[in-house]
Amino acid sequence: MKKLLLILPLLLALVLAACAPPAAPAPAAPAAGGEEAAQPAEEEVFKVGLLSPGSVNDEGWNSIAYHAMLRIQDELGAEMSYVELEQDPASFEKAFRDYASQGYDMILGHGFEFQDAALTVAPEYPDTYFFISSSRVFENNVIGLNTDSSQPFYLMGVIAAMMAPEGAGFVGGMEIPPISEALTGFINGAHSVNPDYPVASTFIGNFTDAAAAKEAALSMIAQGARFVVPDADVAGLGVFQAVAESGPDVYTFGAFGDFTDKAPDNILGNYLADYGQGIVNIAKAVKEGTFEPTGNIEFGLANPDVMWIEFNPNKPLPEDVMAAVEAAKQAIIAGEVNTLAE
Amino acid sequence: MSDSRSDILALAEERKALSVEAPASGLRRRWQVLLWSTLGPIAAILAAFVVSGLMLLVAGFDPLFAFATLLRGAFGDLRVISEVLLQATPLMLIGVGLAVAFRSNIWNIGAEGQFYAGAVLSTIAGIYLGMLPAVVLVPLVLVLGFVGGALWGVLAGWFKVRFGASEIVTTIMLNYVAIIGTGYLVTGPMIEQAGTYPQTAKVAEAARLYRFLPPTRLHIGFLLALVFAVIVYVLLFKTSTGYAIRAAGHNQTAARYAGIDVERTVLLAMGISGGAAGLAGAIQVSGLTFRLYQQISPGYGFTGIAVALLAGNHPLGVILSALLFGALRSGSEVMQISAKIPSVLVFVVQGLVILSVVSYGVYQMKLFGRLRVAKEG
Repeated sequence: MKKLLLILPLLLALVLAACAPPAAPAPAAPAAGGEEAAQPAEEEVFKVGLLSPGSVNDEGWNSIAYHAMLRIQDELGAEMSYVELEQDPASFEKAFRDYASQGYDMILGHGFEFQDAALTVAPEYPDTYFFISSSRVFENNVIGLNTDSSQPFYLMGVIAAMMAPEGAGFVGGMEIPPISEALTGFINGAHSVNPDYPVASTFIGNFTDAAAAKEAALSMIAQGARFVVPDADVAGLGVFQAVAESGPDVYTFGAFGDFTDKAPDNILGNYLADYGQGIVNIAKAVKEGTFEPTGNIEFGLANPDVMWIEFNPNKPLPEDVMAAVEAAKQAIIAGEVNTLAE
Repeated sequence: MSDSRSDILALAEERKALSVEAPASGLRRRWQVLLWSTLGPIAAILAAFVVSGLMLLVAGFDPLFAFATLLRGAFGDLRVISEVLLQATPLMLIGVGLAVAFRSNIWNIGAEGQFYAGAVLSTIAGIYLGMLPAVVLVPLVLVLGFVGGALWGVLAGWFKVRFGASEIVTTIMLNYVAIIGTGYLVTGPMIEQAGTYPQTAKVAEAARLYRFLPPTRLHIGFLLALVFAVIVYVLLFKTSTGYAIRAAGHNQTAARYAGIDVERTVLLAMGISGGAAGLAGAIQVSGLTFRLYQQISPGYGFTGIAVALLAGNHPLGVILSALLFGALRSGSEVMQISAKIPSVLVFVVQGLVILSVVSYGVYQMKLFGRLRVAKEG
């Protein structure tokens, strides 16, 4: 036992000695140089930071921002850095300061919960832009970034009222602003075609219970709805199942992804969004010095690379419907239609 | 490593010999204990840095630069030092509270829920009693935080005393109740006026803790945590109540036989540890975030368990171990930001430091246990 314990540190020392010489100079140089050697050229390097409320490898909310940051690094030659903050509101202010004090050009707080901290820190660093995801804040250099899902849902409402005059249904996840705004847009779109058009809606209270979403959709269909659309993340799959089982004369529409194969005979199209592209666009504008915000950023149909609709080629819409959708889309982009009107 | 081990073994042998021949060497033993309990943890931390440095090297990072940023991020200037103290504050309070529970052999895993309970109660006061002056409101907010956490803790204690329900199970379950209940309040009845985001309104100015070192965020909550640790130390080791708590922890039957009301000590220990966690919640809201979010704690209640165990459940030791955890956490954020080391590796470094310090603690217990046995033999 004693001998073993004597040998162990020797081994450790050997490993150390073996590892150190070849490994140290190669990777160490750029890492160490990053801070010290780059000092004189610092002004020219465009620096972006990300405050992520969870793991950047979650393949969901945080990954969207992380991948956008990687693209900014590659496409704009920016220096990128991120920090995971484990949902700790008390640590946000410090993290913003850690970045801003190092001369970062833009910092993205990925979630509305970063608002307070950014508003507190931003006045001290007027040369840094503080962007906040899913927020409508706007105060000097603190700018909210929001995706307005009510716009594509407005178009879905137009399609529903024209393709399924009997009535439509909306199955939402939780009753939070982005979802309830989508519902408002859907109703407004449908009512722009027929002011008396019946729209049933329900919120299942989570984003995971596909069985509950399916039950909700089935009962809507039983009550006469012929177009049922989900906005409930993965739980929405239950809606596609319900629609697929109810025959090809019940329609639906995919949201935030291509779900055509889940109900190929029923899905008229998909609403796709790439929020990361929106972040990249803004970073580009900031880098080029063309970013002059007059309010918070609201991504909508006017940003076709951030938000767009792909129709199902196997279920083509009649020409008059397509024309109405296109007209509504142009009116929304022109600002003539308020999709969020109460 | 081996040297210290063989030294220790030799030492134990020596102790054995001494104890037979000359039992009156208490002073010398004291010195040995002091030496080993200060040098040991430092050696453990160094060992952890060597091992994690190797890992960083293998992953292609410069470990020296990484550790330099870690240190700079924790102690580089006044701002980051103040952030370490702020980070340590809730851990200190929770750790001190848990030390009391663990000393009385109550496994309170519910500090997280008690933290939420305290945060909720104090936020309610901070928002709706905003017309009170600060001299009244700040103490009220803190007391309510303590009361909220204490009630949440005593509830689990009562289940144990009344029905014999394992406090490990009930406290874990009550965590969920508190966290989900907070989520309900924040998205429903207590949502801010604007109604847009799932967060409460801000607490009144008069409910916020005084920041005594501007421009840093350091607030009086940190000082309160220090005072609290000292108070609990006195309570545990210098009063008969503390003796009862510790006695019940050692051997319930014997304690009962000696006339100690064991049921009362269970409730008391749960009340103190829950109250400490609740106070931490109140301090976090009124000192830093100023409002309640669905997730107000990144798991302070669970980290607090490690903080208490690392300190050997000694209230004054908790101060040090909370500072270590605070420095690690605060510094490792800077390690991510400046040295660009992926969070996964940062957590590995953190974990290795904690692991090695804790395993030293176990080793130390064995060592001192041996010494004690030797003395008695």
